[in-house]
Amino acid sequence: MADEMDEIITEFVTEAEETLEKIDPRFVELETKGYDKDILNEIFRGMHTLKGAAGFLGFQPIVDIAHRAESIMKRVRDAEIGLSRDLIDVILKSVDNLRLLIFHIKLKDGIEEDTLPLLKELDAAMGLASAPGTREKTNEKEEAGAGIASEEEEEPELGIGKAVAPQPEPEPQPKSKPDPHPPSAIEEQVQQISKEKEVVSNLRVDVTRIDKVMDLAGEIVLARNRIINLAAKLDMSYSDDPHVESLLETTGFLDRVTSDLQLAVMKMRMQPIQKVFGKFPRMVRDMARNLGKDIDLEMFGEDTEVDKTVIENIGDPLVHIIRNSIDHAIEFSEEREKKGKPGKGRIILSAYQKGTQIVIEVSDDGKGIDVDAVKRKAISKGLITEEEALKMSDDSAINLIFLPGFSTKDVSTELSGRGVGMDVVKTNVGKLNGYVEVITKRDTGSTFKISLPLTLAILNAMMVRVGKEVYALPQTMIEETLRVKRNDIKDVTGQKVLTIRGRIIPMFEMAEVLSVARKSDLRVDYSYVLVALVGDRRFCIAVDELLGQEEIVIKTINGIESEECGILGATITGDGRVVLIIDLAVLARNIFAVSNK
Amino acid sequence: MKILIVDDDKTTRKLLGLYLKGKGYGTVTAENGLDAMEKLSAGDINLIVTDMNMPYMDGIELTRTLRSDAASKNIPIIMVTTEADDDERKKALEAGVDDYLVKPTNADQISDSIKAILKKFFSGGDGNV
Repeated sequence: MADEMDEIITEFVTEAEETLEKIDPRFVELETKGYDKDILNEIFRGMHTLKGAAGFLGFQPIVDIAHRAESIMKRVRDAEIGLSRDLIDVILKSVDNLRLLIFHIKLKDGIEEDTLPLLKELDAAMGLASAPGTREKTNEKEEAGAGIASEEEEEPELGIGKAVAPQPEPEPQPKSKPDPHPPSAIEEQVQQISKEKEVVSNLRVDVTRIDKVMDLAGEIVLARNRIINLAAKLDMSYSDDPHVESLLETTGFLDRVTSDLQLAVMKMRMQPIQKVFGKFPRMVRDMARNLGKDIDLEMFGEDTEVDKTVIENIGDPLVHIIRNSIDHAIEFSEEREKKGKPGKGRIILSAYQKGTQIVIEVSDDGKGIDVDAVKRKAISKGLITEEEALKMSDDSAINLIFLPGFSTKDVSTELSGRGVGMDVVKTNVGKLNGYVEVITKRDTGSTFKISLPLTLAILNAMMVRVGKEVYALPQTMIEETLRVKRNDIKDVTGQKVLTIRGRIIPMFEMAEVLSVARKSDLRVDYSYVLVALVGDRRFCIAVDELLGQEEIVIKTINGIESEECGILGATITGDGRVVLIIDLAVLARNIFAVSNK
Repeated sequence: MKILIVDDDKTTRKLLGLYLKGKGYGTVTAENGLDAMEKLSAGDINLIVTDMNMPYMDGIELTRTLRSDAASKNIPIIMVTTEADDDERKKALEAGVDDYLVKPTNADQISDSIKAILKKFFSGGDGNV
């Protein structure tokens, strides 16, 4: 039984977390929209569910809070009490407390939180608000005594199916708008049913199982590549044989099906980015309120689907960018009005798919990034020299904010603070094989544009040969490939450099970096060079041959950490060869660490 | 031994289902009274745990409907509801429920009620019905 109980509790935690996640952003919506029956119902319903489930498992503190919050929401919904910011604050506090309590249950740490102050606050909010009604008074006694549900809760249906329900509709009075309900009641019913059906058709599957399927699909892709390769070879030697023709047909079919399979599996891992976006309305609201700023957050494309890994790792960078916008970019209302902008600041968070990329943008209509201030700061921090600053284009200067140790305010405020800079944004996005761009205009605002690959399992790679070895390099970090004359490679105090369109770029021999043996091919006049851009470091890598671009499936190698050895993983090419994938970020770090000494 | 759980709340259905499964019962779930009727027509349900307030057909109506049909007249019904009101309780008992529990009910309360009723119904409750 202990195991089953564990399972039930795990299920409860998941459900409870989902419930809170769903209702959290609705509060902010409520605050902007004012009285909205649907939203109030949803919040009420969430609290109601939570209360029931927690009661079922005997988590009394959760029941106590959820019950009070539910009662307040019910009365707000029924227009018995008005909606105020303070009221929302208390309820939001309840949500936070519930989250904490659920977290303790999840961790099984046995820690008990003191919920008494919150309960008192909730009771006070209820008491303050209870003035207009009369029947509430009787309820209040019951609540204070037992802390459990007691009052007339005909809500579970909330307007749906009221026609068949025996109780008469209490008919709450929305304050401002005329009641739009009667004509759409049936439609609502239908929507509600289809929504619930949708829920039922979902299946919760352990991620490791999906990953296993993903992995196997990857193996099939590799096998397919080999078979296509072999079939092509057979076709060359035995083109007259009718069997070869059917073989080619079959491999063609296999090719398409495999691609579809891979896409289908990939989609299993995809989740709407709403999962990440959901917490931002609340965050923006709280932060703006703390700072005394007035800011609206608009979100678009919340249903854009991204890989699970992206969901898990994109939250922090986005939090950071948004915090920065609220804290540093968006001005106080008076200042904004002086500039002729609307008093209310605006942040737009959007996500969309563009080809095989997912783009996430954070735009604000704040003051924009002051390029000169950024340069001055970078000089004072010793990140660049004055000379470099003079030569630096605005675009490159803005990118200085991504350098470790850079922060435009000396004392980072409590909000953006904790000594984490925008460099974290760049690093985290880089880990997802993505990149960040910044577009900014003085007094108009800034846009941070994060571009990510649709999947992390397939990599667009440049295949290169060094000596007898073939390596794959992630295409995202390669700016261009060139064939250069050996004579053009210069030596400046022991460091090879290459001048490309007037820019001097350090150059390294891949063979030396990886310690790969090769015959010195000095008779060859030309060298193949890749120009790589990792973070802000641009460098050239010379290889023996460029074999072309290929879509490869990344296979991790057990026991190998990319951070240590610079090997991202391996892949099997169409001709059956195992090829190592080089992690250019680690490689860059290592070679610059050496060359700086 | 198969129990039909009728509740319009997904979480309740899920948690109660898991719990009863852990206690060794088979479970079937329905979202409301109508849905429950459908599930019952598929047969082999031994006991029903139902919510009171649900859309389309509530627990009371479900109970009345079942009691008026010879085939389902004797099936044990436990009502679990947020209604603590005496009138509601009376209404439920009159409709023919075998037990009436007020939410928030904890898991063991429900389990005890099921056990007691099964004992009463199947004298010995070996589940071999």
